[in-house]
Order: sequence, then structure tokens, then C-alpha cells
Amino acid sequence: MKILAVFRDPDSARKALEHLAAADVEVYSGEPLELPQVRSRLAPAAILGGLAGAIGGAALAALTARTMGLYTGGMPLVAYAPVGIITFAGTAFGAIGATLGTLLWEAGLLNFRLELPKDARKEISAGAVAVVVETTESQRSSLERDLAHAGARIHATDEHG
Amino acid sequence: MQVEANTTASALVLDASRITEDLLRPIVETGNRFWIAAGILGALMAWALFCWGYQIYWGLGVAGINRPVMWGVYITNFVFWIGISHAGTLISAILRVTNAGWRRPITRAAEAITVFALMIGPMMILIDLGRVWLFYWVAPLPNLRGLWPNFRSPLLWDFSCINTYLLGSITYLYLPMIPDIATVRDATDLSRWRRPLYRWLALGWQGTPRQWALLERAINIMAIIIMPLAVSVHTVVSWVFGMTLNPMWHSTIFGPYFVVGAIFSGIAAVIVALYVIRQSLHLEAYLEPEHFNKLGLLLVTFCFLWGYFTFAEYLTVWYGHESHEWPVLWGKLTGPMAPYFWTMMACCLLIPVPLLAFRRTPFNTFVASLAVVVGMWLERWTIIVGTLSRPRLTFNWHWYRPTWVELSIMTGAFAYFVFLYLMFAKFFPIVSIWEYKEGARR
Repeated sequence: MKILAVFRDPDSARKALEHLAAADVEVYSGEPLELPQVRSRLAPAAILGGLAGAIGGAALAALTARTMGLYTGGMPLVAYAPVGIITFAGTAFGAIGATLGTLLWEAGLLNFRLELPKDARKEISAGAVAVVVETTESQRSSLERDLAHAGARIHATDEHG
Repeated sequence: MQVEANTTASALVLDASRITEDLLRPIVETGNRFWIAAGILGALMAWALFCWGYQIYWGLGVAGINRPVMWGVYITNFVFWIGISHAGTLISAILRVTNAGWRRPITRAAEAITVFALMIGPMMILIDLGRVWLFYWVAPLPNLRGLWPNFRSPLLWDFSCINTYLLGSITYLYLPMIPDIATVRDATDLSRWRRPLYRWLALGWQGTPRQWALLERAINIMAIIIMPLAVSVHTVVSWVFGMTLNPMWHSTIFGPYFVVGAIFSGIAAVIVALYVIRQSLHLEAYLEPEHFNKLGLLLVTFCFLWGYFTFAEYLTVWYGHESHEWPVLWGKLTGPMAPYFWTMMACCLLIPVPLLAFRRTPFNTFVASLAVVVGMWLERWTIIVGTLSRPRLTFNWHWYRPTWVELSIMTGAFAYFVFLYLMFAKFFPIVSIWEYKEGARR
């Protein structure tokens, strides 16, 4: 079962979290607290996206010039400087798309099922920090007591049980 | 450091709930002034739309553009708006990468300028096309005559770079907005039709440490991507002119000259917007005099930088005394372009420098910035019309005056920009709530 505790401010939440280090805890806040070291593919994705965009941009410019089929009297049909500029734009385009896509995927966005009830989310908007702790029935009352002692307000425990 | 301290000091007074309440107030409360402003802007836009329809019906002949001046007010506006778009995202990205604490209350207002200016600028190209329904010819598709667009044309470079920059700027504006949209979703009881808007735009944001960490990393990556992109966009705009052999356009310094001018006008636009937001939404506690002081310092730096580039450009032409360039230069200094040229110099140097050199109060900075915005529009005007009205063949010299149609459409475009900005401030927090709180806590 889960207990939802809402702390008035980040500092009291942080103190309580120090005591809950071993427990299965999920934190929800309206501003970044300590940013954890997360494993992420954002940077490699941006580089790969940039590479794909570069290839796409170069191909677009070169193939469009070839498709035009102009008679150039032996002069090159594909001009390198313009291809370079379109390749640059394509690189940025690919990197932006890959960054955005990877963020949506890794951060679990586009999942519209919200874990917290509306009143708890409203409190988070006003600066509170919500902590959801996974516990057992036997430990529930003592944990609730400890959290309340640390300054938390226990929210609708049953909904999360 | 001092600004960081000031921000922190005032923010300590304002607790987190007060910050949320203050910054959400414009979204939940709608005063009469909003409706009056929206009404006036709507009327100007409707008139401009009618004028555009009139121009489409009767043809481009109702505009003043004619041989040899085939680019007039519309292209001036295009270059001007692309320039305005420069500073928002670029300043925000530079300040974010350097972790400047004072950026927090100003970044969103600046980034929004970029996005809306990028929407207005290319719109002027569509209006200038005349037969706007054929605009897709610039896309890499065969047109009706079986021809493919030529990527050797700088116009196509522009098309590619501006669209990429627009995509990047929208993403860069949107990512830091996600937590704040979630705040609007959770903290307000809005009407039924507005609720789904915030629910969808928040993308299911919950504010877990993992989400925060990934979001910050993505924003930093975007900041790195967006900086060279921003520089490339105005460089490419300058190449639209620089790659031709027209007098006073075919210049090697046009790229950096345009980039400096764009950042210069962009900073001024950001200051004007921040001042109006501060006064109209009563955000004096968030947009503090120190922010205007810092931005004013940046603006005066770019005053001198722009002045240096202008001097270098004009001195070279004057000293060379080349027969095709001299009439263009002389036309600007003493001829029909002289009133515009000297007004530009007054607005970009004589007015802002004394105002900003000594007392960079919010009002002084605002007045100086307003002058710079006007001056930089005139700069684009003198560059474009000054050269086109004095082509190489002297029999073809001809002056150009915009007609009521062009001026109406131009007014409508400015109204459209303000309208978009007004709507943005009405629907979204114009000061980033979470970034402000984060700065206050640190």
C-alpha cells in the first residue's frame, strides 16, 4: 500500500526523505529539488538525430538539384556551398526532433494518467512537496506518525492503498 | 552576483504560494483593459486583412513597389521581424548556458518574442509574393512547369533556416513551459473549454525528480543547438542581399553586420516588452530595476558595436568612391534617404547612448529601447530601398513611396504581433514560475 504525505516546503520534505532513504519513495514537486543522476540517452539521441538530419539535408539538396535535370555544359549540377547550408539546417532539425522525442519517451510524458489527486497537485503548485511512500499494513501507522511528526499532512491514504 | 542577491532577497519575501498566485493572476482574471486592447488590435488586424484581400484582388500594383524598387515595406518588415526574433532565444540560451541567475524572470518573455516575430516575418514574404497561393513553389516539390526549386538561391536557404529556427524556438519556448502549464492545470479552476488545453499541453507532467532532471538536460541541449542556429538565420538573411551584385549590398561584412543589428534590435524589443508587461501586469516585484540595468548595459554595448559596424561599412564605401556605390551612399547621406538615415543614427546612437550611459532606470531603458526599435526598422529600410532606388543604370533611378495598402498591412502586422503576445500572456505565465522559485530557493 502507499501513503501520500504532503510537506509544506521543500526543506521539511528533504529532512523527512533523509530518514526514508531505504524506503520505496516517489517525490513530486513544483520546482526541481536535488536533481538525481539519471541515465539518459538525450545527448546521444541529439547527436544521432543531427547526423540523420545532416544526411537528409544533404540528400534533399543534392537530389533536388539532380532531379531538375538542367544542362550545365559539364559544370557540376550539385553546388557544394548551398548543400552545406541545407545540411546545416537539416542537422539542427534532426537534433531538435531527436531531443524532443527522446525527452517525451524517457520522461514518461504523453502519459496523461496522473498519480496524485487534484488537491495534492494544487498544494504542489503552491510550493508543497508530495511524497508517496510504499509500505505495508503493519508499518503504516508508525510511518504515518513519523511523517506527520516531520511536518507532513497525510492525504487520503486509502485512495493509494 | 548582485542581481542574484536582489532576486533572492525579494523572493524570500514572496513565498512560493504568493509567487504562484501573482504569476497566475493574469490568467485567471480578465480586466476591461484586456478586452479594450484586444478590440483595438482586432480592428487593426481586420483592416489589414481587408487590405491584403484588396491587394490579392487587384494585384501588387496597388502597392507602391515597382521597377526598380521591387522590395519595399514588406521586405523591410521581413528583415526587421527576423532581426527582432534574434535576441529572445539567443539571449535566453546564452544566459542559460552561462547559468546567469538574473535570467529567470525574463527568459520566457524574451523567447515568446522570438516565436511570434518568426511567425510575422515570413508572413510578410507571403504578402509580398502577390500570388500567395503559389507559395509552395519554394518547397522541394516540382511546380506546375515541372521545375524543381533551386537550392543555389539564398531565398531557399532562408526558407530552410527560418523554418528550422522556428521549430527550434517553439521547442525551446515550450519545454520550460511544461511544468508551468501543469501548474495552471492544477492550481486554477478555469472554464470547461480551457481545462483540456492545459491538460494536453502539460503532457501529463507530474514533477518527479527524474522528469525534472531530464527536462533540465533537454533544455540545456536545446540551448546549445539554438545558438548557432540563431546566428545562421540572420546571416542567411543578410546573404539574400549580400549574394547579389547590387551596390552597398555585396559586402563581406553583411553577415556579422546583420547579426549584430539583429541582436541589437532584439534586445531593445525584449526591454520594451518587459517594461510593458511590468507596468500592465504589475509585476514590479519580479521584473526588477536590476534586470533593466543589466539589459540596458547589454543594449548600450550593442549600440557601440552596431555603430562600429555601420562606420566600417560606410567608411569603406566612401573611401573607395566606386562609381556605382557612391550614389547609394550619397543618397543616404544627403539625398532622398537622408531624413531616414539621420533619424536612424539619432535613434540608434544619439538617443540611447546618453540615456543608457548614466541612469539605466526601467523608464530610461524603455525609452532608449523604443528609439532603437524605430531606428533599426529605418536601418532595414535604408539598406533595402536605398540600394534598389539607385541601381547601376542611372536611367533606371526611381524613388519609392509605400501606399496606404502597404502601410495598413504593416500596421496590421505590428498589431498581430502585439495581439499574439497579449494572448500568450493571457493563457500562459509570462514569467517562469518554477524557474523563479528555483532561483529564489538557491
